[in-house]
Amino acid sequence: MSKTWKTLVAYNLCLFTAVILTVGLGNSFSSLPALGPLLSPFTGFWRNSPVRGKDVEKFDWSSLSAPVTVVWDKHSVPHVFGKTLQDVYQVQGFLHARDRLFQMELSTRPAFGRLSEMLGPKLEKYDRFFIKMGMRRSVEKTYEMVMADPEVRAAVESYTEGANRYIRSLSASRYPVEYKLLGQSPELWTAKKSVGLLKVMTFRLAGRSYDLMVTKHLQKLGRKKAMSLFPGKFPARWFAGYEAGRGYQKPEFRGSSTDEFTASFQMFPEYLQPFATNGSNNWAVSGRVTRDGQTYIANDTHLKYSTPNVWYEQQLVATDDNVNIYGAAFAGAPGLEIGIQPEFGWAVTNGNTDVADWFEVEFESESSLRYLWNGDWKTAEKVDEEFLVKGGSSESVELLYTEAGLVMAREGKLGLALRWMPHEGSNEFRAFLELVRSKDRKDCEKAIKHLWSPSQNVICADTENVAIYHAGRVPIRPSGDGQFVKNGRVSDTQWKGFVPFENIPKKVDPKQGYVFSANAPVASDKYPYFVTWDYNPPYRALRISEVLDKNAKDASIESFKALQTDDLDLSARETLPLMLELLGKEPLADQVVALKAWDHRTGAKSSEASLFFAWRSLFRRALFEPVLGPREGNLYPKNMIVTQILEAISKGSRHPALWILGESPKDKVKELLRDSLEQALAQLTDQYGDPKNWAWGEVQGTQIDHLIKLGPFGGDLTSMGGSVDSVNANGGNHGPSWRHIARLGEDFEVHVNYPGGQPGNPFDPDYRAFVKGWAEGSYREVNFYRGLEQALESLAPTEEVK
Amino acid sequence: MIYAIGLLVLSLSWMLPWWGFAAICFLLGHKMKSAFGAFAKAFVAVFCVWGIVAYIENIQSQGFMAIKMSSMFSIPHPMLMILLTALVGGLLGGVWCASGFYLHQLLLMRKQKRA
Repeated sequence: MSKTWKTLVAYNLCLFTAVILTVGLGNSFSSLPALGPLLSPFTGFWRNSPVRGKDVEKFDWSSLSAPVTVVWDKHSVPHVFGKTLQDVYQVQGFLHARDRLFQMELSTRPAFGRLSEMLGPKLEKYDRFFIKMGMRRSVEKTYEMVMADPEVRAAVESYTEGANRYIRSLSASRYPVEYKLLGQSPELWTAKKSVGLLKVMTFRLAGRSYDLMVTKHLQKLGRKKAMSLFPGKFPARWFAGYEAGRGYQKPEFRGSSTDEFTASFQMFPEYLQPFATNGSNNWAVSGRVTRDGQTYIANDTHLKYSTPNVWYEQQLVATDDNVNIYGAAFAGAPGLEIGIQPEFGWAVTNGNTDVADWFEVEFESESSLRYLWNGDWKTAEKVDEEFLVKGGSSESVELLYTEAGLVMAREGKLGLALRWMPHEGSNEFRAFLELVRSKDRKDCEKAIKHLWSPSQNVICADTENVAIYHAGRVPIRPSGDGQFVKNGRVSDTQWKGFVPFENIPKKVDPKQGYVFSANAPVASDKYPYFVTWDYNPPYRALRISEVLDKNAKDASIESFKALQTDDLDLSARETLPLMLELLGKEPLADQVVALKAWDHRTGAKSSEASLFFAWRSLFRRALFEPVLGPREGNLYPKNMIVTQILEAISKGSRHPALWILGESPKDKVKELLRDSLEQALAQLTDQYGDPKNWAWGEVQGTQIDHLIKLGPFGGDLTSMGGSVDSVNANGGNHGPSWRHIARLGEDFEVHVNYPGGQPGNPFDPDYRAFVKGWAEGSYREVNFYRGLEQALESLAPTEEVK
Repeated sequence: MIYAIGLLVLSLSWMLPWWGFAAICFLLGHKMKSAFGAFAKAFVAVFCVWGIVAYIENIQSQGFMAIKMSSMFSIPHPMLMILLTALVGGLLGGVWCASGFYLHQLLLMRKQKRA
């Protein structure tokens, strides 16, 4: 009897332990993933060893019109050879999914407000925001346009088919490791997700809106003072790169600053800004002026660094469609966003057009849906949108549509409505798919008519012609500059259509033979339409222009490399001498004496750069904080205003913003400069010790995080030079995420340099293959194959051919 | 018996859910002669299978899996990641096998009582 009992007790104890252990390891607790399935070498992360594909893969699915061959070069770059573009896009979808599935899904989710469903309640506020600001409707509208366009529809659907071919073939044990860590499984791809991905990019590039911030200052300071700090007009010399103002037809409506409306709304909602320094550089020199008679083109895009990189490098060849092109794609969309081929190439930088305006609307009562519109009452359309949060709860966001836009916040009787151009839908896919098929400058111009938003400065270059277009729809504002919240009770203030394509700023085959852009102002006072008050500072553009002015004739791969990695900071060159001058002749610390001799280069080893940036940043704060309150970012007012204020004091001239320095600006500025310099010196000494250790590369720190910041899947801190106002626009966690240089023509060559690697699997040895070369500024010449035979030959040059 | 467990776990785990090996151990527990023996044999068998499979997979990634995952879990050495994997597998296999053994004993006792 007692033996039975003993056994029973032992059995229960043992079973209890086993069950507890199994259940414990089989479930996730808070942020910790379920360890059992994760550690099992049959289901968990150990099953994610990288699969090295064959050098040559052949796809002959029944959904293809002809077999497609993919040749992989030694940098894990796929070269896709097919008969038709549609076939090629299908295989492209398959390859993107195989290499970047998690990235694809993550990058499209914000468009649907579906981040917290995957990543948990912490992301809820992002979902709320994206739904509230109208992302879903933007996707729907665009999706309708895509479906109504047979060519685009076919491309996107073919791509989706290819992606799903891979996703369907995936067993749970081979899910990308991020899914395993999150305890999730991948979803099938859809055409709508590709659309969503583009809308997320649109938000990143055209979603920025500081109108609420400046309206707050307008309410406090009055129009004159607010405009002095956030001007909508700029000195002529900042308009590098465009011939705005000449040869444009007179518009029916012309933007003016005469709108005297000041909003009464007080509690402005939090607006989640995309990175304000998202931008790029591009330039091209025509073969008409270069010594070797070849056209050169260069592009570097500045986005947030991430591993895997935002770009996917590949070559696409479709023999029947006469397409052979090399470039960079977004994993999640067919075609290429940056493309280059021997006869033609295009290059893009963000155009910064202001496509987000805010309107104050007035409701009948606090909770009413009836609002005032041209003296009558109208009823707002109310829609509740649901979203899911990981862990099971379903949340809802209320959307209110009015004639003035989407109501983002209410306060008493008032409402604040947002009009964002993408709400109306657009068909950018058509632009990019046409660019892939383009053969010269003219085709390119035709293609970019379809690029509505985000606006881009597109360079179209062929072997003879170079041109730059400020492509993208520019809203026509009948009054005001779209800078402050406007009166949304009447239709007079609403956009009156868009600037016709013929009237966009452009520069076609200029005499000097080159074109360029760097997110700087594109339109001077002479341009009849308002584009934006919120350009990036012009320093990168000015530097590019000063270098090309001198050596456009000598354009070469090497000279372009030098310019792309150029770390001369023009904002420092213009501002520092003024700061030193106005500081006066007090006894200076050795480091400050060294600043005087600084060449304004922001190399990784420069200690002067560290001191300058620390000093200016503290000076800015001291200058603006007493008036504007704690900083919203380190971006507004722009650094150009700081330089202008100093310049005015130095010259004894006038500047509308001098009021912030009080009665005796000269003494005040001297005091602020001295105090902030002392602080900067103390801070740097405190943190880094001896000035020898103030290397800018260390102080700024460059880090390339994993997409969802899974520590070891990202990168360690790298020491690198560059600054946001240098052509080498490295800003620490943000900067040149892709660089390429090409020589068109017979000696066609493409050189690339970017912080990434092709495979998205963190365990793949090539996961971050190019990061080191990027940090060192060393480029890699890509393999461009004229045809499949050449590609195959290149793989086995020493093998005997029978 | 160690070999039997090892072989079964190795050959069947590819198609089973992650806890499939525990079921195998539980079933094979019925064939064991002592509780300790059941635990120890299953432990050794699963420890070896999990450890060796993880080790081989790790080589395929040039060691990156152990390096990155150990760093993610703040484990001081990559090889400890493999050891941890093997220990978790071994421990679970062991307790399930011992449970199986005890259940078998209880069933036997009931049978004897009836007889």
